[in-house]
Amino acid sequence: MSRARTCRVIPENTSHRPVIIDAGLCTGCNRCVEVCPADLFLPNQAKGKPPHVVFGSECWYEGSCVTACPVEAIRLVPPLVNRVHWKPRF
Amino acid sequence: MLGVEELLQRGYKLPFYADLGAMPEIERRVIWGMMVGEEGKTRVPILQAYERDGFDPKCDLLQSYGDGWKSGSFLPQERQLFGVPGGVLNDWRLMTNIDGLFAAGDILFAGNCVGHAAATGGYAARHAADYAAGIKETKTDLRQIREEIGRIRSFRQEYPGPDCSGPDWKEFNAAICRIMQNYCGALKSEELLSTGLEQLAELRRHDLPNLKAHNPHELVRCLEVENILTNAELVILACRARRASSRELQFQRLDFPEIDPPEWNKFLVIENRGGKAQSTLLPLDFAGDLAENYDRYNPPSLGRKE
Repeated sequence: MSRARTCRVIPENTSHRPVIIDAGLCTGCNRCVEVCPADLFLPNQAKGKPPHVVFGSECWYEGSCVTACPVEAIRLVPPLVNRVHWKPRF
Repeated sequence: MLGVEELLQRGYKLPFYADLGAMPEIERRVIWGMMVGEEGKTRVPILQAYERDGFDPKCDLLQSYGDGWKSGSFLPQERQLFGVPGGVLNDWRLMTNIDGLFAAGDILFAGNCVGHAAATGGYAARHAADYAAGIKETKTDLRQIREEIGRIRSFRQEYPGPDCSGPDWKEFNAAICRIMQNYCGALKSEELLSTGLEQLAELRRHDLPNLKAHNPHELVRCLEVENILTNAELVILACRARRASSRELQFQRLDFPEIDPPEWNKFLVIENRGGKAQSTLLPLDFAGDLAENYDRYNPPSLGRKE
């Protein structure tokens, strides 16, 4: 028998939160955990709860988590320095 | 495509804008819909994010930053690190000087994006298959594995406590960048390059053993910055060994100002021989006749099962 261990997840302290998960919509399916190319997430130990965004500074901002989410619970927040300018044609 | 000076002379004004609305709809849908939406990794962070913030490709002009459309701009000294001119020395099988280690893609001299990567990857794989078919299974080198585990474990540490004093990988990476900017910039000389090499050696001796990793992500970054340090050392060694300036290489030695003297129209190879860096010169045509060798080393049957 293995001894049950309690782990505490301490998210990295980042200057920016690249991924926001709406806990009300998330079903805890962990598809985002699987597809993330940079391994940002850790699954929640409680079933059906949103995964933890642990390694925010490793985010590639490519959005596969957003595409994979079946309930549109994830919002990707691009870095502030990536804001661009546009203006009306006329 | 015209340069920015030419465009300004013709009356264009900065900043430039992408006028997607002026295009026929089918072209706009190819660029904004298919290319930005379906290729690569821009659907969520560009197409969806801009549209969420109100950008309408039919009605809005999208600013182009700098002086035109390009994927990157480089200083001359940075240009030397990107594709041409530099890379691993390989033979006609794309094998390196390490027996059984093949190279493909950007690591090769004169690498050039995805077409080159795919072509050299396929070619190297066929030679690797051919090589593997011709050797016997070798015994696992346990000593090498133990050394490698020791190297990787040396970075590891439990969650940071009060005794955690070493730099993290970001600090280390920034230090390498600063040394390269200060000592291996646009203008080079023996004194600058030697000092830079000493400073890199100091980082390797004094700071690398104290690098801290608190989780698997940081551990991989630690291994990555160690590789970056080795690359930085290689770059300075190569710059020191080339005792001539060159226009094509965008390479300026203050102590060897003559541009492209014929005796230096050669490849320069840096090699690790018994733990010491040695440099040798290779003539530009060292690979021999291209057509003849390509046919010789590229038979259709190579690396394929009978």
